[in-house]
Amino acid sequence: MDDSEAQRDRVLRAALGYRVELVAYARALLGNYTAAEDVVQEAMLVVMKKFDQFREGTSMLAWCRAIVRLEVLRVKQQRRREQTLAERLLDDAIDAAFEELQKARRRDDAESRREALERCLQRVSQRGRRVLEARFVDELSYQQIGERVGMTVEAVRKALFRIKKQVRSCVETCLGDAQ
Amino acid sequence: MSDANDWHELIDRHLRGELSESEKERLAELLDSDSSAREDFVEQVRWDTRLADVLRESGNSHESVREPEAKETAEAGLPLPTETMRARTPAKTFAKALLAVAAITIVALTASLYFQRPSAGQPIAKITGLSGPLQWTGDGGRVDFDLRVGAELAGGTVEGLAPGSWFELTFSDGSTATISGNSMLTVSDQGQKKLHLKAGNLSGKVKPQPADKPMLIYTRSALLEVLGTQFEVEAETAATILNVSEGSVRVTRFSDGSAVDVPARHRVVAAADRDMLPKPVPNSVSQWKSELSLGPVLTQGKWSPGTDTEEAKLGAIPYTSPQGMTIYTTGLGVSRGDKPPVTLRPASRLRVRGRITSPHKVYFGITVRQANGAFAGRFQTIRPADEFRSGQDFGITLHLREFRLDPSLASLKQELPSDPFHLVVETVWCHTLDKQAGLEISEVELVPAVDGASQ
Repeated sequence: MDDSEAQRDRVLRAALGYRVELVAYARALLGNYTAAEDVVQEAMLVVMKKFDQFREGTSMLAWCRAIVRLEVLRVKQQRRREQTLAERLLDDAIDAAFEELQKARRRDDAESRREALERCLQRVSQRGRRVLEARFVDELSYQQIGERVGMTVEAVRKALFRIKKQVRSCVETCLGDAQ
Repeated sequence: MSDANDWHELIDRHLRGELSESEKERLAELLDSDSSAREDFVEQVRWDTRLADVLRESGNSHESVREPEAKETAEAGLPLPTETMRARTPAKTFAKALLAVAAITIVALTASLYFQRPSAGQPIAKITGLSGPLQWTGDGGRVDFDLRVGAELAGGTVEGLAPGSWFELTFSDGSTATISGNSMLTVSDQGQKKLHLKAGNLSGKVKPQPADKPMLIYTRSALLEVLGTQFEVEAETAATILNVSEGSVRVTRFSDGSAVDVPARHRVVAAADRDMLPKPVPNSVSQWKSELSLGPVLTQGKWSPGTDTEEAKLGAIPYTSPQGMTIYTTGLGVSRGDKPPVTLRPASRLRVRGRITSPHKVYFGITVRQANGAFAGRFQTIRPADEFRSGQDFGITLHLREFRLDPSLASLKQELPSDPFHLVVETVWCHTLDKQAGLEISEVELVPAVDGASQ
């Protein structure tokens, strides 16, 4: 493996370590998980092509986020409709918030969070899991979830809030115990 | 729910593209003005995405044996997930695999992504009818005024620019969507038809849609799910009025998430301050009178309130076509909102009171539709300038028998009714051409006078 390939592998490995962070950023701008994942895949192709433009010593997350931002803009242009003023203002505000506050987590920290999350999700009841999957995997509306699991819209809203809170609390406890 | 719950729910819904324009504005304001809101937003988004990532990954591991589901997806014409998309293992493993086959992956990913995406310029519908001034915005924001029947469109926004505007779009499965008057509609079809009616009136004749992919129609206040039916919907600022002719349509009110199925020959008003109960479409009436004193509701023109000495008025406003012709027009919605439909009888008359600054030829017209919402034409009559006096009020009674099909619809003469009788009046309009004659309307009335009765 020559120096160029080694550098590419290093950059790509580092970029892939931020995949979920980048999906979160793209999702905040696109309002859709699948579209955000596609955008991050495209961004990773750009990273592979332009790895030599990354300047060592600068923030890898910020560099990748800039690439994702360009891919998001490209997708929005492909949607063939003009953005409303509210959408443009919101995109700018989200971009600024991530620029200011999205900090890179250490890789081992991210992995331990993920493992804790997987453990905590196993403690969720079967019905609760169905509600979560309907919202997070199938992206159903509250109304559609209600129809699927036989709950009212208000009950779905409350259940989602409660389950997410429980899972989050469980993750924080697991991480606290580990430390 | 508490403020904290509302805030988290706002973020939750934003991440799924469910916010209204006003909610987007609110979220942008909060993020701009409150540093703790920004911090919490970023943290919530990261948390929600991590949770989604884990849930989807565990879901994918189950899906790898769901062959029937994959088959259904393929049969529905949807792209199957590629191996790289389906096998989403933890980033560490994915990185190793990707690094090992980096060069091959570039080619494979590029190819798979290429085949996953629908062609950006793929037509989804065809223009099958149009009339009057219209504006189409599509193709990355390009604006087009020169629309023609038969043109294929790949999604975009159509806007009717005058009370007499009319536009019919036919999707590849034969479903049609028609707007009339000052309406604005965005259409898309990426495997599921999604229409956004920003304002005005839309009628649809929808072929059976897949059960899991109904046609979705969004207004500011409601979501309509249509599986195959005939309907007409009107989007006002704070309300959506739906009339169903055939089949049924599910309506969900955004303000509280409540939903109702509206059966054939029923209507419902989805508004925050109304009970959302389907009611039978009221019987038609043959009498109608404008109510300009109540405000510029469902009107086009410059509205002036009444005073002690003057009645409320609607002044003509100009629209200049790309060909350079200027029309000074006023329009009033008739069978609109939650009012009963107004139909015309052969003896019906149109009474118009108003004022004109300088004598000019005036066009008086009506736009009509079938009971099922389908466009049925525009009919008009022209009064010469010598019937009007400079700077004076006028009152004129027009027999509907005198009204003729608008010449601009001559190409559709065989398909449209030859007269407007027994049809539903959608709008009444009057205009002058090329010259600002200062036309103002203070009252319009449709009266069902029988032949021989006094005016």
